[in-house]
Amino acid sequence: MRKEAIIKQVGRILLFNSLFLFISFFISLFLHEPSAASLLFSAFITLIFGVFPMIFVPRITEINFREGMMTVVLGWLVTCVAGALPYIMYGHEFSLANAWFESVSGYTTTGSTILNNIEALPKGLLFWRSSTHWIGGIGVVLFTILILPESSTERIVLLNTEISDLAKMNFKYRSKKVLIILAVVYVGLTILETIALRITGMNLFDSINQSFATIATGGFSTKNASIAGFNSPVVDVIIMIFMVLSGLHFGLIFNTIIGKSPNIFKSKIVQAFIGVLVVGVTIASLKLYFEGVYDNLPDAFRYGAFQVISVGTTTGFANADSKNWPPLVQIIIIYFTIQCAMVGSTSGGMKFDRVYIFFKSIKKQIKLLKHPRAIVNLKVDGRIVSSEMEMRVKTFIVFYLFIVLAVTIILSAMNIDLMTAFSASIATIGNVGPGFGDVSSLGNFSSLPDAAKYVLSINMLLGRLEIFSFITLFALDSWK
Amino acid sequence: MRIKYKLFAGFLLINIMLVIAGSMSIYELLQLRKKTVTTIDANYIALNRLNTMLKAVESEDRAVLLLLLGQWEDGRNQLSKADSIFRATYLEARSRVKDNTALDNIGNQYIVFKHIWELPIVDTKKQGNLSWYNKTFIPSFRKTTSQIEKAMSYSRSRLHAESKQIFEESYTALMPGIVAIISAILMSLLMYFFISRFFSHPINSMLKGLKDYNTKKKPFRVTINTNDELKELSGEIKKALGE
Repeated sequence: MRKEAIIKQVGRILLFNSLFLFISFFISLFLHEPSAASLLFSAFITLIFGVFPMIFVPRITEINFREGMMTVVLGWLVTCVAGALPYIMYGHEFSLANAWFESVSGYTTTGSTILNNIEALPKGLLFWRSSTHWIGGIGVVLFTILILPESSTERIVLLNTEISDLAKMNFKYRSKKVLIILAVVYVGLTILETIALRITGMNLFDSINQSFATIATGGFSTKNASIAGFNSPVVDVIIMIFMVLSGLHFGLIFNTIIGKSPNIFKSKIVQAFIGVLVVGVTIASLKLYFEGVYDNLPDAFRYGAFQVISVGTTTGFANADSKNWPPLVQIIIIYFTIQCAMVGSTSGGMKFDRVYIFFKSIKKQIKLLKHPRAIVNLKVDGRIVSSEMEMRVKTFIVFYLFIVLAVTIILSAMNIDLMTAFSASIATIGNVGPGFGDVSSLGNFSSLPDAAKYVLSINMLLGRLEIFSFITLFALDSWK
Repeated sequence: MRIKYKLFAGFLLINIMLVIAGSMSIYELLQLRKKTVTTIDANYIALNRLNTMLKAVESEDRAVLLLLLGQWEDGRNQLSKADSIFRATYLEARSRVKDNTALDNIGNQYIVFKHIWELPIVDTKKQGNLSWYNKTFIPSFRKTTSQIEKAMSYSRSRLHAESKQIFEESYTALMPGIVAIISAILMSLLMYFFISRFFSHPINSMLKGLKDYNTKKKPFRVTINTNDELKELSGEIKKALGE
């Protein structure tokens, strides 16, 4: 493995980060905030570390699969360290563990926070916080594909693990085209949401920050009470629409815009995803109404739909505190925390596509029990899913749930109550953000011990990098 | 890029980082120094002024006791002196602090207090009247000293809060140094890796290639992909060996 190739790619990722650090610095400088110095220094450090490999490492035209995977994982880790720098240097609520947790939560678009008073944070740092979401959101979609050589068979192998239409489209389009599609949809949705929120009267700074967090399915808000802080049904509806869009496959969104097929209206998997969301929203909202949590049905739907969509798309925004909601609604929210959104979107975690294949596989097994000699194919949007892929999905789900259990046990050993431990575990590995108990939708993770914050940070990275990629970093033979 | 420029750029980057970290630490420390001096001075002076006011009021109490004993000249002289000290100190404090409720309260209470002892005492019913002293004068005196003590207590707690803030700000001054040290170590390790990978390794490869050519008559097959003098050198060796 060529270490210099990995170092050079990681340097490029750092350069991209330093750009946003400089923007955050200029915001702080313009507003005469005390965070300006910490942002400037962090920007320089990140820039210098990004430029350093450019000087020494000659041009590298191609990297292999293992180098690519290693670059992705190391890139994420180094980026998270760079992201924590401005927090560490600013101090106040940011201890070393808190800064690391906030940075990882930002980049992995989890949206869990350790901040008790978000509004007290300087605007430059608030922008940086939202930027980590936006970089992380686009990063996971773009960088993974960007850094792998276009011609390599490993690239196809990697893309094949993405069972959605993006993989299929990649065989039709060249990689550059795929990257352009993703960038256009990502940036386009961000601009559209910013405009929509501005029209509702939200100020430009908040609009941009909320948009960054929505499109990246992150969940960092500029308000202590998250979206509830804006107290506007129109804002809630706009954010709900964009949360759903961000949870869909970007390739399908692009196809819908250019009028090609498959698109979000024809894809069976999208229909299933939306269908499950609608069922979840309806049951949760009706339960909230009939249990008397909300006096009228529109309010029950407003809060019920927002919370379910927010969790179901792994965004993690809140317009109400679901801590004391009826158990059925909490179970629905927990289900969506596990299920997560679609492959090819900015969301992390298990992903709906795997759950969809898992249930289809169960259906296939039942058919095979009835007709043992029959040849039954598992199809997703008209495409046959190989047995190998089916097995990979099942292994992933089992391993995913095993990690959830293991982290719950580790957190419980730190004297954290079971509900908090379990919901924190699924909320972080799913990159959702809020859970229940001490880490509920309007709460935060500050009360957890530092060791728990480090464990949950690893959980977030595991969820973002889809477990196996992260593990490759620690497999020693990967370095040979 | 030529080797000397590569090395120069590498060291330059490390130096830039250290200079920025050093400058930031120096700037933050200067700010901290300024703030520490200002905080200590401001609070020390405020406490000193309040103490002077307290002593003046206590002196007025002793002067009133002299008046009660019929010593008009000594009593009035002492009262006049203490009053002018109090007013001068109060006005000075007031001119420096524009909005201070504690000072307002002291000023208002002092007017009430002064009104009690300003009126004649000697050769009036008040002379030798301990009941008037205990029931009218002492409560007002205590109110006045209490207001001054409140202001002193406020100043002390402000001093404590500001010291705490300075302590927190010292963290900001410290961090660039710590981050720079860690970064410099990492950069040195990177620099070592790059020098070893892109300078030492090609030189060793060429050396081995030349040795093999001389001793074993093996062809010189060394590929150098760094775009610098080492690549040129490799090319020239190949030319010289006629390959």
